[in-house]
Amino acid sequence: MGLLRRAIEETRLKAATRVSPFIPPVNQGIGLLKTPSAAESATLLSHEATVAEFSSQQFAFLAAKVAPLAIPPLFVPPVTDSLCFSSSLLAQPALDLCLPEITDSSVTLAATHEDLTSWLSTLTAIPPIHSISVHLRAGSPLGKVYLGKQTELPFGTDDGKCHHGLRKTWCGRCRDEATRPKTSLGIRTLDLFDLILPLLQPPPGEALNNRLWFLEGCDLFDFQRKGIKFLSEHAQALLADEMGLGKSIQAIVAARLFFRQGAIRSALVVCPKSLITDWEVKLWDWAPELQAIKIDGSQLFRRQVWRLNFPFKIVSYDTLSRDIDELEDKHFDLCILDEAQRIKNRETGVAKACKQLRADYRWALTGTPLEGKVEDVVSLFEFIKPGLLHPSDDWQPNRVREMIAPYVLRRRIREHASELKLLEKSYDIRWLELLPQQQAVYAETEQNGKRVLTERGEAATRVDVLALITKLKLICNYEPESKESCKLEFIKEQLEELSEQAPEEKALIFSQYTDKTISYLEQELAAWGPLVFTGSLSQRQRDQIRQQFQNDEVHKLLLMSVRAGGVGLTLHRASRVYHFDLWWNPATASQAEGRAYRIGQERPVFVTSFLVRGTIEERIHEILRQKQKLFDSVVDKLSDEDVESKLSDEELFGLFGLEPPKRTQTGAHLGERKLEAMTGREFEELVAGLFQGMGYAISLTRASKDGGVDIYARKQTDATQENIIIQCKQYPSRAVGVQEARALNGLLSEQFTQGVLVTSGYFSAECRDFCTGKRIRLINGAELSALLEKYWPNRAASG
Amino acid sequence: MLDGPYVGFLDLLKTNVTNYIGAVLVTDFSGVPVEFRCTHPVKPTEIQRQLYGSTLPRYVGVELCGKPLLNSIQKKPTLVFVNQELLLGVREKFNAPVLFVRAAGEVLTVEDASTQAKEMRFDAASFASISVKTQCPGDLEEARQHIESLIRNLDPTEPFERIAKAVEALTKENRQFQ
Repeated sequence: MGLLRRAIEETRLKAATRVSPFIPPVNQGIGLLKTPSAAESATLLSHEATVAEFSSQQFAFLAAKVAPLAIPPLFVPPVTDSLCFSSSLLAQPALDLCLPEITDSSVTLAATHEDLTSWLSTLTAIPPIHSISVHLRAGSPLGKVYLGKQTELPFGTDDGKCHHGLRKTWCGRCRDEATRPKTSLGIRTLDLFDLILPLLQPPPGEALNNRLWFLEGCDLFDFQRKGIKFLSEHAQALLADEMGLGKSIQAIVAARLFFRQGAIRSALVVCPKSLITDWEVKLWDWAPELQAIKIDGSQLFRRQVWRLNFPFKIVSYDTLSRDIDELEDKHFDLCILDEAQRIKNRETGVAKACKQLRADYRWALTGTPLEGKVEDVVSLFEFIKPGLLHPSDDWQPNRVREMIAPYVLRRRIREHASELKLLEKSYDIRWLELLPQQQAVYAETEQNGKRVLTERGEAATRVDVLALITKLKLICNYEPESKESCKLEFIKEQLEELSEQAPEEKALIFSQYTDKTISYLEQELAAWGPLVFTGSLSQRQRDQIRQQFQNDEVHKLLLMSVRAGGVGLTLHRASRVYHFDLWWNPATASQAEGRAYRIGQERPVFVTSFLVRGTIEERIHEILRQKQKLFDSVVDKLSDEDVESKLSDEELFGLFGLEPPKRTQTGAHLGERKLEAMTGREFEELVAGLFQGMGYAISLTRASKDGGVDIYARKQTDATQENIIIQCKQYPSRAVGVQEARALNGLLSEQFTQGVLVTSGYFSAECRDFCTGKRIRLINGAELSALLEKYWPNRAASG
Repeated sequence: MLDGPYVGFLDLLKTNVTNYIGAVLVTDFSGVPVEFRCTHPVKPTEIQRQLYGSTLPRYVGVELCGKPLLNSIQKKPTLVFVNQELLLGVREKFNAPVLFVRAAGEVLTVEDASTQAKEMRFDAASFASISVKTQCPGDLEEARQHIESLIRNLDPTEPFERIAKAVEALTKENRQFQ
């Protein structure tokens, strides 16, 4: 009964609260009395969709009216003998293990709440499938072949030295000029892979011994390799090698390594004005692929040049001092100070300007850094490594040395003497530039000389050209009015450095101009107490000077005429040789150097030649270089005069951009006629033609009553003049006897340097004996033929 | 001058956490660069990295970079060195010996040279000895003379440093390699 009552009560409550459709009937088995009043009925849903209707009155609290109910009997559920659930198992509230009822709620809900149903349907939808690709995209290859098509070089198989002093096929500038595309601008564009090429180059090697990094023919000593390595490992460095060990070369090669590695892109070299050209040449020689520009000229021009993007800029200390304000926002990757002792006084404008330079790498080169005051070193390091040494501190020398030691490399010549002696002599050419007054006088002299030569036309001779050359060479040595001399300026620096570094060493200075240069040097270098050795000295004086120079310690400098001092002397106390000017023949210079480099010499010998850029000296040097092979094979066997005569008229006049005068050579009409068939006069004309071909100015005397002289010949070299007299003997079938020789000897006064006796036949033995040791040269028929072949080979054609 | 033979150096570089760039440098037997090629970066996504797992470097190095690079070079080398063993897979499509090279000091066991050896040691006068290894036994014998000639002038492990520097410069200078 309890159950029944509870069921009735629940039914009533549900009805009162508009029975929730979610709550199923409590018990299927419970029946309710149903009234047929449909209008006021409520709907009760059951899972069997049985609709029960209730009267509204029935929901009122009526007096309990108990309707008879059929009460289902209770029975014991069947127990199966199986532990498995069986379909026959009836659901009983008392049993836990029963299959759960499955309700189809969606259907039920759809019937009543459409919105909710659609919401639910979204929850129960199949999720979308995202497609994730596993395909990786390959990167397309980019790159470059660096081995371009080999361009045919115009030199062909001729791999001689170019005018930069290198082998043509190796010289970057010559190759570049030869292979440059013939476009209007000649500009090659670089792509990204060109820019990384430096990084792809093989490294220079731990000991800088990778031959690929160093130019062919540019050999370095081991100590120089160490110096280069030191510089390349130090952003701030002081290379303080003694003079002559190649500081500037080491700096250039180290900078070149940096450029090739892509570590730097711009470099500034600051040096004394006299060394600008020298740096330019050395950069050409040791880093030909790196273009250099010197900062010089007017302020406007300099301003433009500072803005140019050149790998190397070269500037003098003075110009830098003037332009430093222009460089406020300019940055250099590398700055090299050559002869850095110039900034040892920190109060000077030059020192202040250098210290304002902005650069990542700072190298200073000097041979005399530590011999001076400590303040000098402090000033030097204000540039090299600002902040390392403060000028206001009271520095003790030992403490300074200790502080700067990691940044300094200094080697002395004596430490590497054995290495240096691997070379017979150490050669160096110093390229200098004329000082302003020198330049003005030089330009005027050259212009006038060219005008005179042009005006003379066909009358102009080789003698005239040689005289002009002599004038210009003398101006290159010094300008007589102002006494300005770029060579003197430089040699003074060298001597000062030598006095500080190696006071025990001595020097020789050679010049070919005794009166016009050696005298000048004697005055200007008086501070060094020079001895003078010229051809005008007696033998006793010569011996005295030689002994003084060799034995005492007072005289450190000997000025010598290259002709007088070039042969036979032993002066091995000198280890420095300077050629103030150069003779035509390199062999003469070599003989002069031999005074110092000979047995007994205990030091390496350093030979320095001075040449002035943009002058006749450079042009002559160029011609001599071009004729190097000829000289190598011929010159040593010839006299100096022969060297000069080896220059053709075209070359000689070409030195001044002039065409040689065209004229018919004396005797040319004789063609190839046989000597024995000639008349006496024809023979004289032939000999005159020969001597003309040898570079002499000739003058034929009258056919008869010639006073014993047939031909006067004169030849002007750039230092001396030859006057010779020639007697011709057309004796094809007999010997020339001693009488003819005696006659010629009688005519050889002081004004003549030589007499020449020429015959188409031969000389008697007595004649030859007579001429031995005299100023008479004998030319027989065979020798004459050979000379004609050599100096007048196209005689037939010209005839 | 520089008519060959040439030697190639193939490398796969990780330019950042995820990106790979393949590069090949061809030089003559003195080490002078003759040709250089590299790929645009391969950029696997996080999911791709997970999906490829440990096979990713090999797949990128061999299939995506190595083989296309060796195909693209114009100056064909007579042998190719790689500095990662996984790159030896490029040999499948390349008609020249491919050798994995490293300093001999890095090798724990090196067999003596024999006709069928896959790994061989070479002692150079001017730098540390090297060990080369290959997948194809015949390659070592074929390349032996070339290697002996090469190591007179060049340390075969050195050009990989140049490649790394060049690729680093490219990634810094140019966006298409970043």
